[in-house]
Amino acid sequence: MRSRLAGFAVFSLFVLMMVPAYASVTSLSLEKSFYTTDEKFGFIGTLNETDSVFVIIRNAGGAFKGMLSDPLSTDEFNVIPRPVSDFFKFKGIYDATAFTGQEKEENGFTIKLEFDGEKLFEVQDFVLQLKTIIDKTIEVEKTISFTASLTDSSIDDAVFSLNSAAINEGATIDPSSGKFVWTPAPKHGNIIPVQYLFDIIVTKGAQEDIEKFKITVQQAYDEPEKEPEPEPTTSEPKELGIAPFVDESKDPQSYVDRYNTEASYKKWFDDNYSEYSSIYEAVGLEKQLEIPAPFVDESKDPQSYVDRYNSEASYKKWFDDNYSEYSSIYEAVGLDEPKELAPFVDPNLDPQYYIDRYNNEIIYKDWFDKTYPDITIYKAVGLDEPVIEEPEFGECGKGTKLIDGKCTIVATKSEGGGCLIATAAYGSEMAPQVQLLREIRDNQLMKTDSGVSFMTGFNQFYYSFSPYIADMQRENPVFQEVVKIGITPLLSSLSIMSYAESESQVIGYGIGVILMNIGMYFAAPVMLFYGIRKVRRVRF
Amino acid sequence: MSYKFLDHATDAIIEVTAKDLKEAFSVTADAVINLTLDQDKVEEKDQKEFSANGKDLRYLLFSWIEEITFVLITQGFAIKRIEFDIDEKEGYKIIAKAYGEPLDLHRHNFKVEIKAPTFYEMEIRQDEGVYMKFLVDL
Repeated sequence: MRSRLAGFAVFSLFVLMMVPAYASVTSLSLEKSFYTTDEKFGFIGTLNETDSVFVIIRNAGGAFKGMLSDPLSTDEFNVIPRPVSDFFKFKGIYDATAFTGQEKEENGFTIKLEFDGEKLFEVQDFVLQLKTIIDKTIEVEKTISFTASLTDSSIDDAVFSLNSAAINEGATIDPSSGKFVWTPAPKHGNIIPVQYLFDIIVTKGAQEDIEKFKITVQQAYDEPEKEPEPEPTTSEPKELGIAPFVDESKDPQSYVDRYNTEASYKKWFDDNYSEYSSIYEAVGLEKQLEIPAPFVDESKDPQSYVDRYNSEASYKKWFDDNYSEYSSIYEAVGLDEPKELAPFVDPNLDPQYYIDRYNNEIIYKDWFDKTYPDITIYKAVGLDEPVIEEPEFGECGKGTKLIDGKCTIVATKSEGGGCLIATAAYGSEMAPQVQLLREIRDNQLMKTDSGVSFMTGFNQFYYSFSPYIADMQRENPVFQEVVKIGITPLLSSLSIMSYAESESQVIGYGIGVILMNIGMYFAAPVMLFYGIRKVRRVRF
Repeated sequence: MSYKFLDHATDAIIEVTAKDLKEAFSVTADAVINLTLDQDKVEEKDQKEFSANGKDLRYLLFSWIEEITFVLITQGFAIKRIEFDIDEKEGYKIIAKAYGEPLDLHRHNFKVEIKAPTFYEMEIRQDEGVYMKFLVDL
């Protein structure tokens, strides 16, 4: 027997000596769980002896798709990363075989890869699935704990996590063991049982599984006893007083806070105490508007809320539905309400301009009073009404002024109105063109009798339509440009009037300018029209 | 026309001398191929087309080494020789055709994978001939 054993030992030693020991790859995996097409990918793995390692990638048909290598590895290898896009052009399953310099490819360690057109990942030979988690019930301030587990217990290194809703409620999970822990706080309880939905998520490589379950927090508080319904009476409505469920030893604000934070409490109150206009009335608090409103982030520009309100219909609806207690978005964000201007008012002009015209031009005043009978000129231009102090002794008559306690006749100077059309066309009454018109009126025309007569008649006609044209220009920039082009010849011709200094010159130049404008605006177009017709007749 | 490997601890520094630019790039290709495998053990059974380009000669050399490495390693094509032309038109471009066969690690005596070319210590001089020096990361 001993001789047989000795013979076997010698044979074994002989075999060990004769068979060469090759370095070989013992494990292989992608270095990351997945790679996108714009990344470089690499492999890691182990080998049992120092050597160089090659990883050859072939498609399902065995065609060579590329090679990676680690020139010298000891017991672990890590190949030089290469772009995913250089190796993987088509979706499919690929083989990655790692082998040492002493091995042949067919003796290497092979794993399967999948390229889905966007990502490269390892094909797993397992299914990652969480075991079903049954719904649970717990009391407030008691801890619930259990361990989530996988259907395939042989899977290592799976990572457990919770959805954001669970994290927000204060639940935790150990990423490696899957141990779930949650202690519902008092705020999680209510006068009825409350259900909370959680998701446990497990991931490994490219695989992920989610298990949903429900934890019911048992009733934590007693429903306040409801007072019997009062008998309907025909008498005058009387004050409701503090609601019966209110414990007056408690801070009434705590009821308001619960109402605002707990949907079930709000529903209970609204269903049972609808006779109260609000929770504030029920607990005996005056409803105070919080300014800015709770949704306003004070680090932001309040105007941004106003802008959203004005530009987003859904935001407007949300605000109007939920913050109807605020008179407007301006109040909610703590801004002053903008004053609404009448449509004819150009916001770029000094509002006093309109006031002055209203006070000085009868035609303008008549037009305004007829068009806007319900508002004053001050309101129309967004100014506060002036405070009129009644003099102790009465009011001075028209054309007189209080001087040294007496109503004294004063000489008045008619300043006249401006050219509404030109002002609207050039955007400002300070525009050089508008100033030119004003200078001609004040320096030439208004200094002669014939000029004054002309201006009186002209104003009567001009102010009957000019405010409407000016409004149209402000509303329509294209029309404004058309008018600007249209009045340019008129303004050029009127500049001649600046040379008129005497009565006769004003009449002469005036007639000349009028004829010139009739020629430019009426005669020339008519002649052009007939000329074209004549040419067309000759040709055809 | 020649190339030589200069001593370097972990990477390879290659020095090339040639009579003109085309010969310099041809010698560079031979150096890169022989750094990776035994070029004389490769047979001409197949061919592959590839190109390299650069805004100047330095970028062209970088691209040339990168493309040869890509053909050798990633595409697994052992190169015996390369035919190519250099065009200079708004930069440089090389259109090349490599002759060789599928890489056989053992038969072609695969030596090392070039990780990437580098601009470090890169030098190109054109006086009477062409002198080029470059470092490849192994």
